Amino acid sequence: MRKESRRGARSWALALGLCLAGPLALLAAPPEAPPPKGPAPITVRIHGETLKLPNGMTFVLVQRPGAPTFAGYIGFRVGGVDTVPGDTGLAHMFEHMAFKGTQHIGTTDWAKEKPLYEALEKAGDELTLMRAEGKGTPEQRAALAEKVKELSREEHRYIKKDEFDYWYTLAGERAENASTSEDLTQYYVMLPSNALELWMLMESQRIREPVLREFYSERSVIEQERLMRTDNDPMGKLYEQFEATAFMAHPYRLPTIGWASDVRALTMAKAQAFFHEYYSPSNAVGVLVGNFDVAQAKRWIAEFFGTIPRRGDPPPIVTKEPKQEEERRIQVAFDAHPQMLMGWHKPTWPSPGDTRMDIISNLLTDGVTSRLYRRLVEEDHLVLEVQSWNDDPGARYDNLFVIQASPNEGVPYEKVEKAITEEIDRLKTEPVSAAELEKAKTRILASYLRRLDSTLSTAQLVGATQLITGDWHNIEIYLQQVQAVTPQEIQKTAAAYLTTGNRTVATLVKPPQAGKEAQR
Amino acid sequence: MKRLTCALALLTAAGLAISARQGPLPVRPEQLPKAAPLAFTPPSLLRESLPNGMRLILLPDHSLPLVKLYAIVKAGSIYDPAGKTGLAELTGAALKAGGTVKYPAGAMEQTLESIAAELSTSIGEEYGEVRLNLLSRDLGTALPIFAGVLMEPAFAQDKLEIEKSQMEEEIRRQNEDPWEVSFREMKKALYGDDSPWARTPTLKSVDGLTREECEAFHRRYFHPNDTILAVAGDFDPKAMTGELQRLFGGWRPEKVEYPPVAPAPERPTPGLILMDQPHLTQATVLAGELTGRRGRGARFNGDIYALDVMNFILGGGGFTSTLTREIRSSRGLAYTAGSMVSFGTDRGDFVAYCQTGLPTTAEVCGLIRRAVAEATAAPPSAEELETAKSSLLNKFVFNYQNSGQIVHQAALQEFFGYPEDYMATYSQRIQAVTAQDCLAVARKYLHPGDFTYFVLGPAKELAPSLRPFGAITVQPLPEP
Repeated sequence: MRKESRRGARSWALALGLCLAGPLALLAAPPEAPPPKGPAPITVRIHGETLKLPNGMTFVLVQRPGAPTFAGYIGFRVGGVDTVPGDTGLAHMFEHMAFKGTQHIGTTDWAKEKPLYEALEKAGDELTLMRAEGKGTPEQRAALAEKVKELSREEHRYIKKDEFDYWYTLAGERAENASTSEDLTQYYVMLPSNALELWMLMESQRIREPVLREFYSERSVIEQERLMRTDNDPMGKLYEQFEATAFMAHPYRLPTIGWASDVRALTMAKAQAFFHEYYSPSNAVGVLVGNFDVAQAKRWIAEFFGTIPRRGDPPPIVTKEPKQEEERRIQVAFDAHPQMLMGWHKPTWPSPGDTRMDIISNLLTDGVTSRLYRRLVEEDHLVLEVQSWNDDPGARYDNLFVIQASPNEGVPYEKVEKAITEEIDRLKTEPVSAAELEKAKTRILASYLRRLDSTLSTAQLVGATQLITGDWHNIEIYLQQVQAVTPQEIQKTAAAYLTTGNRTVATLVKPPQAGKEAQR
Repeated sequence: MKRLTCALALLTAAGLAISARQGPLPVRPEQLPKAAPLAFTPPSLLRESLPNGMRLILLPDHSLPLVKLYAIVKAGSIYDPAGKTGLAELTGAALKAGGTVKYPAGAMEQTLESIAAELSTSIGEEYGEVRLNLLSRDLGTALPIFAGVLMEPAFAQDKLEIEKSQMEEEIRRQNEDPWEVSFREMKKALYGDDSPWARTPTLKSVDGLTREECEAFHRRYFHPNDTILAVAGDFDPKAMTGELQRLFGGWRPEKVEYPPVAPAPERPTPGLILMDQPHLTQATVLAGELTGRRGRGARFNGDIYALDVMNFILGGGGFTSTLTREIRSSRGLAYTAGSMVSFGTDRGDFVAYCQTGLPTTAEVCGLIRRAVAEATAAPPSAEELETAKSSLLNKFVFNYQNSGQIVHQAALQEFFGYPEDYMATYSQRIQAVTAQDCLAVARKYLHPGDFTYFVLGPAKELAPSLRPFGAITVQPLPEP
């Protein structure tokens, strides 16, 4: 549980890439025009109602028939990108802490727990900083560690473990989880419809007054998570260093899970400050999708969420990545089979280049008839798999288009790279045929339509789009833009961004010892 | 301006609502009114059989213009001949990749992808599956292709070679993900290296596979009388049945002789397998044993209900389970910890799992052993039982969330011989499980003193602390 997406939230546009069914139909066939020949157009439409609470929180309600269940989503516009060196991992750490309860949930007696909680914070944070800064004698540290242990033992007498999960489990939750990406922190769950009020109570408390109990043991859990996802995973390690190379200035370079030493140095004080800075209702979006009573939901939203005080707005990120003018290359050592990543800087939505890049991504790697699959897998037998995605590692700011390839045994990286480069050049020099472009558009539309087949993925789509672009209706606008892209625009976009000087290439290589060991 | 109006309207609504509630806002779940029972009638499925014996399960659902089809065929890797491990898997991949007699691979892919229809094929342990998800407007184009893939795949040589080399490349990379390695090798430890239920393809076994063998595998096992076809979505059932009869009517039934499948061992060898991967900085720990047979129809193993409740409490129920609480929440020793249990056509298994730091590996093994021992020593508390049962009962409605999932699940239950009233009586059966039932199934199926442990990590560093968990066998990573 508590997944941290490796690729970040695949950016709203990409995520969107999965799901829309809407007014595109209208676009394709305006009412006054004669009906077009050929198949009925695909419509991707979400019937939702937007509520703005006085405290700045936005809710979107999407009622639909079917089994009496709903997906509940609460998202915040905060993620790895909002942290700074020394504090990396804080957004993700806070996501874990948001499951530890409140002054009412997760405790048997907050009045008695509180002094212990506060004493523990003081001692634990002091020990953390001592270790991080290399201060204090071994004896002082040992004494403090003993004190932290003792205090947390005492506090445990009042802690009701994992009570958040307990109530959702009891109610019959499905897929309860949270994720932190570079852009967003999202909490979601599917519940039977008779648990709607429970959801309101629990989620509003999480925003209103979280208590960061069990902070230090949870920090250890995250250290294990980092070992699992990054340090012991070839792709995880390659990806982290790829991002840190492609971005020099912009905080997209920082890993959402945090550098290992930063995670060890996170304190409760930092986490509290982070909460006050970023978890204002005005920085949050709630979404409900499913079979529930809308009028009642509105009343409960007003009661439970409308009464949360508004806090200040988070500080803006002013850093812009300087234009990359020379190719960057990095080799990452790991005893595993070859993997490579290639990335190019490009603008984010609503720049038209972003929408066109989604189509380029589709042309290159979506399906077995895509250009790179045909060439690299089927014709030249160069790779096991090839994928691409847009809006990496996030979509709040200008970002990357990325191609990932896994060369077959004995195939040098240069050969794979050459073939990819030739296919990219072809995008610039030859206009894509009408049929191929139509195929890409249809596939993007259908992927959005399929996302609507699940209440949870609909909620995630609506929530992420609202948080990143400011209005979930942009889903429909985006799909209209997809429909309108021309072959010439594809050529122009490829030529503008997919250049050698604008690219970063990362490859996995075996560490020297691994070779020696193998020889022995 | 529009926004402002909206906000004002909501303010009014909020004001009304607050006055509607008597007393202060609840802050704890106990303060909420008890949840009303869910009013819900599961959709009824249409079941029919074509004259050639193909069984149909249909569920119209017009909420989106999509149709989803799943064909389940009795054909699996357990029937792979000795030395030919990988034949079922390759055949499964090549069903789609190799095109059909009427639709050569290239044209078929082009047609399907240009209409964004998703066709996928695979053959697993016990059954093969052909799936199609398409826009309902394209039924006329895609259905004949779907039928062709099932009835007359062409296994084009060049496409088959690509699938084969893909499989070989996957095998070369099979030792890179610690979870994947551990679960795969644990199965071998439990069932035996060469057991049909555990063996995996090797470069050598795949290299020898031929197009003729794939063709023969398909010819032997793919017949309408061993196929269940489930269809959900935006269609008219009468028209769909007619169309399916038109497409599949000429497919002739045939009696299939299934080869004998070597039985699973009575008891796996207890002890600890330590698989050496020197560069890892985290250990993967699995511990478990074999359970029982699922049984079919009237002989369906009714222990499953108590077993599900027991395992929910032990390690299947996420944060409310003993293993997650003890290993993750209380001690911070792992990000993932839990257990799963199942019955099988021959035998099933119970496996507890965790990934932890090297210095805490032995501690985690001990926590797993203790938690399982406690489950076999005393019944769960009333509260644990209540939580587990409520959760299983309340989440049951999610079995009906999506029409595709509903028919797919129904098809698999039919395939595995679940009683016809399984879904209808599930809630009642779970409701009836007592704490003593949990203890009884724990005692019947779990023997922590005889567990087989599997640990993946640097052997030299881990071995000394793991002695208490049985005789240690250090093994290298298996050669691909």
